[in-house]
Amino acid sequence: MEPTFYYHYPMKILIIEDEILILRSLQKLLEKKGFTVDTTTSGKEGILKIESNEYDRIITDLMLQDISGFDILEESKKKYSLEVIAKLFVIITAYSSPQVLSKANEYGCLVINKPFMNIQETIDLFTRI
Amino acid sequence: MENTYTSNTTTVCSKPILIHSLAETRFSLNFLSFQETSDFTIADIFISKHSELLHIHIPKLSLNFNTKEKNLKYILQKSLILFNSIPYERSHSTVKSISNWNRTSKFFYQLSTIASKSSHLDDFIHQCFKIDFLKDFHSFHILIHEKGTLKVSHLEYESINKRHHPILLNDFSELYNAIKKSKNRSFGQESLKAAHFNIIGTCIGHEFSLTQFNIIILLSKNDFLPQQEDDISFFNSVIPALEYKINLFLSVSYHQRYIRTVEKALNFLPLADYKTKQIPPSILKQYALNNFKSESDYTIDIKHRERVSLLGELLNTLRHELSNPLFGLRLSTELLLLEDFGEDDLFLIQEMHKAVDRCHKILENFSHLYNDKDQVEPINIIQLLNEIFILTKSESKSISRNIYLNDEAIEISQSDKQLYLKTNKTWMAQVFFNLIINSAQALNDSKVSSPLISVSFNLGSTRDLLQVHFKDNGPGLPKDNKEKILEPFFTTKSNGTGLGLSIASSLLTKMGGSIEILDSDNGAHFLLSLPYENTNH
Repeated sequence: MEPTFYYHYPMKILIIEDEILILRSLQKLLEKKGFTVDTTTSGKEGILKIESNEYDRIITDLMLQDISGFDILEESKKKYSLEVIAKLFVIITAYSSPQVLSKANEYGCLVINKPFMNIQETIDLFTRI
Repeated sequence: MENTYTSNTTTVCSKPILIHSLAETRFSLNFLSFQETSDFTIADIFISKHSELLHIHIPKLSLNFNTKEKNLKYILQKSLILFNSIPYERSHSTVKSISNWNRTSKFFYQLSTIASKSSHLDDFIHQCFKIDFLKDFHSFHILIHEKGTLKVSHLEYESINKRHHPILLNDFSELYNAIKKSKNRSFGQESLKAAHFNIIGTCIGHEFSLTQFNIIILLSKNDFLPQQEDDISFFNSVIPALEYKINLFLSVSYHQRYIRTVEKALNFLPLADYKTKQIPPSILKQYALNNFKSESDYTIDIKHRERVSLLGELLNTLRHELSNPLFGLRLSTELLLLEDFGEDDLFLIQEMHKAVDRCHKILENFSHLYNDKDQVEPINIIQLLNEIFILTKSESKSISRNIYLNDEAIEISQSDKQLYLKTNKTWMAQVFFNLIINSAQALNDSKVSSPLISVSFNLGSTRDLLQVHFKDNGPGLPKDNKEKILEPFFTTKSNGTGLGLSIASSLLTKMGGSIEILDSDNGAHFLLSLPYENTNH
């Protein structure tokens, strides 16, 4: 059996989030824990980054200024299999309508609602292997 | 076969209907019951003249019907049908257009004002040309078909002129159906055979059906430009009010005609044992509450719904738009709290953190308060009051509060003090909100040295009624206008809308409660009474 991908050490994380305060805070919190963090506020730039880099985890907001988080997931299908996508991505969203949740669940990845109640716990969820 | 010996009782109307009398209407008629047996007729007639209501009880009209009495019976029935046709309950929730709020409410207000000043339909329509939206139109056509007859009137109004055109029933029906089928209600000249109806250019049309009449309204600017989308949607949103008024005027004019006949008939009848008596005001008030939706109730209801749906929409948007940046702030302050700072800086950051949490809480509370659901649930009324004090902080922050529960002073933050009341949370919140804002504004304007709002909740010994005494130590309410305070548009404040207290009052009535203004030497004193039911919480 060929493994789908290997984790880097330390883990390489991409955050796609257009609220700059959330983005920078998450970046700092993760960096404090020793992870390598790359960030962007633009969905389109996120897609380019995913194409040209190998991340161990991608945290993406759903409602971005330019495109939606679902567009990023769809684009990633070109590079990754569905199983990998389910492990690779974490969706963070403030608009957890039932439709959005069920669509997110179709990808099988972790969905976390904003605002997070407990930030440290959430950070641990982000980085769980 | 004749059923001479079987008593055949028909109660035409078991519930009295009180008809709203317009300023110029001298009478309104109300039938309590109208029973017909094989050998006699019982009628209870209520006639109101000015503000007095007279009750005429006719236990026995006659053993044999003669022509006059049959006539009377016919008149009574016909009038009754007409009264029934007034759609007080209509169009309560028709005003949904949020963007046109100011325009719509202004329209309703102007419409109400001119309607109360007009004595008949012609007068009313002419006055309509003074209303902001309608004054853009050059002509106003009303086509009226009295159902079951061949009678069709086509009235054309211009700013001061009125014309009456002959029109055939077939043409009327064709036009009626054409308008009914159209979606956007905007018509070109050819599509309506407009020239046929003396209309130049394009127009907006609307059709509606009443018990006695089919009505078509056409509005034309006498030009060939297509109607603006805005105008059409505005027209559609205000048309129920116009329908209501037109119906009122039509009914009133018919009703007056019948009343004159009734009066004549009554004079001729040998009614030896009919009694005329004054009805006690308490019963009168009860009738008014149960059976009769006054024009101001109607306005208040629309205003309230407008407010709630406007606020609900607004708050939802706000909550969505603000929660993300707020969350960002919270995350970053939390991050800063992990760093080493001096005591002063740390204090500032902690306060920032608290402030952000408070913003969150306020947003959450607001959006829970203004949901548009009409549902009844047990709510902790003391906690609700506390929430409303938080929401009104900008107005009420410098004002001290005393809260009492069954005469025991309580701290508003005490979470163990609970009083659950089964009620509509949105409405209850709005009542508190309006009362607090009302008092707070009065207190702030009058610059009282130590402003205070005191609210005491009391469950009486029977535990079926919750009484809430709401007091402030402000300048108090105008004593000579006491009865007007709860009326819409009555205000003593320079920039008040005069709606706050009347909305509170109408909501309390809806909840089965009431509001009373008590005499007080020191500030305003309201007594709210609410039905209470023991809930196990």
